Amino acid sequence: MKRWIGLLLVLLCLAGGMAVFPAFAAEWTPVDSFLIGVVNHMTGPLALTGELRKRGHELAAEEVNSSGGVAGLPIKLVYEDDQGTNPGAVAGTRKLLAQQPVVAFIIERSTMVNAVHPIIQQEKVPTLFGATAWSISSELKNPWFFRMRVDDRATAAIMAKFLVEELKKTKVAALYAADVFGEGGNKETAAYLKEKYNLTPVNSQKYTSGTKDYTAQLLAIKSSGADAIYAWGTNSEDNAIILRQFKQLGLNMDFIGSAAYASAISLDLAGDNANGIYSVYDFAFEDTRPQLQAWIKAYRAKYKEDPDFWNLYTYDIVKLVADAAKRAGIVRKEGDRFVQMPLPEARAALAKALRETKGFAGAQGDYSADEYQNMIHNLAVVKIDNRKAKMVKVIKLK
Amino acid sequence: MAEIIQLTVSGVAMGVIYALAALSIALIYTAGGVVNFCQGGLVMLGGYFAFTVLTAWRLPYPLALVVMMAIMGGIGLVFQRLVYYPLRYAHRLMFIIAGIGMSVFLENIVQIVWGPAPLVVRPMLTMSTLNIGGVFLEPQAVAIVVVTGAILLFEHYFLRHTMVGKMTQAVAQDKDAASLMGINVGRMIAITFLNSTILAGIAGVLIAPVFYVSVGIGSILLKAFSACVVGGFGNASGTILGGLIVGLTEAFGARYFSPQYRDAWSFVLLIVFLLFRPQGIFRERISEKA
Repeated sequence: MKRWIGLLLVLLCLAGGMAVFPAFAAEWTPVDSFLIGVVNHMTGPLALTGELRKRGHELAAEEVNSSGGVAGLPIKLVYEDDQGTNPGAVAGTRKLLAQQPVVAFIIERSTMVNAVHPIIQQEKVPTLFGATAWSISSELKNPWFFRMRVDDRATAAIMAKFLVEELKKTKVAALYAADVFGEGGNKETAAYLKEKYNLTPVNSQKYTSGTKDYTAQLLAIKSSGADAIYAWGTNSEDNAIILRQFKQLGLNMDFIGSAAYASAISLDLAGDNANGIYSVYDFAFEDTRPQLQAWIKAYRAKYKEDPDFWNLYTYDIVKLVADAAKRAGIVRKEGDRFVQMPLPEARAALAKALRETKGFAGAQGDYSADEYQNMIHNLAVVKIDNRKAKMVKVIKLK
Repeated sequence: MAEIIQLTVSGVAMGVIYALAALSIALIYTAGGVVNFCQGGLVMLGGYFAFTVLTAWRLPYPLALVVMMAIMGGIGLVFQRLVYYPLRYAHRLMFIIAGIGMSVFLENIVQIVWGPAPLVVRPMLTMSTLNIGGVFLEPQAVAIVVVTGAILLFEHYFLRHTMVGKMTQAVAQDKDAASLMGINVGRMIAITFLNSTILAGIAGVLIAPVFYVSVGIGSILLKAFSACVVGGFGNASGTILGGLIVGLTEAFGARYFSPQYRDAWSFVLLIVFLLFRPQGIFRERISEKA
């Protein structure tokens, strides 16, 4: 009997505590920094792009903090390693969100965004990424996702349009990586070619990322009679080997690749083999936009080398989060300390502010949320000349 | 026809690399009775050292190869003493686990030392691609075939016609009997590891200009393992033939069946041989291993 009374008392205390706790949890909590969580490739085969992305984050955080942070509160980036794999991304995301009260979350790669989608839906944390697969918008429809690069559907349209209307090519071949990005990009490009120009690729070849030899694919394209290739791939080593073998096997045709083909890493590896190819890229060095030029200058000063797209959108992500957090009023000063909204409310407020973003002047362009929560709407077509990406045209989509 | 020749050239170039890596695996297997799952990591390390000696130190290729062999040989001796020797009486699984662990260690240490960016290594031959009747020959591919062929001939001579080579073969066949004959078994195993690591390093030097130097080079281990199984574990000639078969199967399989699953072809071969001819094309020269 005494045991049952004791148990009942414990249960009552617990219930009382749970009733009281939400009241405490609803209080604004003291903080010493505005936390942004980042799951990034810190080790593994993608460590290089992870390092480049991190540079963008860090440069932006420095600039934001030196100009007052979020209402005076400095930004702090908290990292977890995804090891370049989906399981790593899921584990890193779970760990970070369980252990750190981050208000915003950053992750990369279309395949990883897909992998963490259920977690983000459950945790309800605004998640910003550069992943471009259109399926993220069309199929996942996660209200907490905010895309910071132009999606593949729009990129594919630019690619297809450039091939047909500028380069006057009609016998087009496809070469793409067998992952979410490559498959999605190819599907969108082929769909646009069919819909707008009634064209079907004369040959379509895919490869597994990390393959070291593309002779089979390139020979198939060569024998198909194609006069141009469009290519979708993110791995710089793959891209460089493809471009080298493209030249070595004597494929005498135009080549337009996704953004990674014009990245600094790909151009370093491919060397002169990249000369003459086109790429749909996030920016052009010759673009006179003041924010872009300021970013290029700051990056060169800090890292002593040219930036590329890996650090462009990651720079803008941190800047935009800081701006949205200020607009949302997530942080305020009480006396000599900073307090922040309760975490669920802070995340919801940040997400609302991101959705309401109109004309935020980032380095890449003006950020405005559309109905898919895609934030940026301009791209550049570049041509590689003497191992450098030269602007052909800058395209504003909206 | 030109396409078939092109694919054959591509398949042979990759095949001899697999053969070289496979031979390095087979040497350790025959001497120590264990498969070294760190061999891919050693090939990768060879690539990184190739960058240092060829690009950073700017040594001419012949001298660079000699320096590479010395460096990798030293690493092989250290590896044997630190990883194999303490586990020589333990269950074989222990060494496999240690090899995998060492491989993970190497993958991360190279990124700390050399950085995460893929590295470019200058090719052995700097001439432009040769076009012979519509068949394009990459000069580095030609160099790979020639150098690998020379190395394999040397290995054949070393193992069959030198006293040290014969002693390592004797140890591989029966350690106890070799010991009773007065052969220093520990020293012969160390020499085998040295030999194997040098081969892995040379494989890394040869493929570095083609694949770029990164942690991904180590994935060659699985293809080399397939080559060992196909050719016959423990048989040097078999591993060479196995490597060529794997390379050619990949090239033609990717072109005429499925380009996306190029890398899968080596595993298809592995499974087929394990099911129908597990001893490989050339079975081991000894009928029973203790």
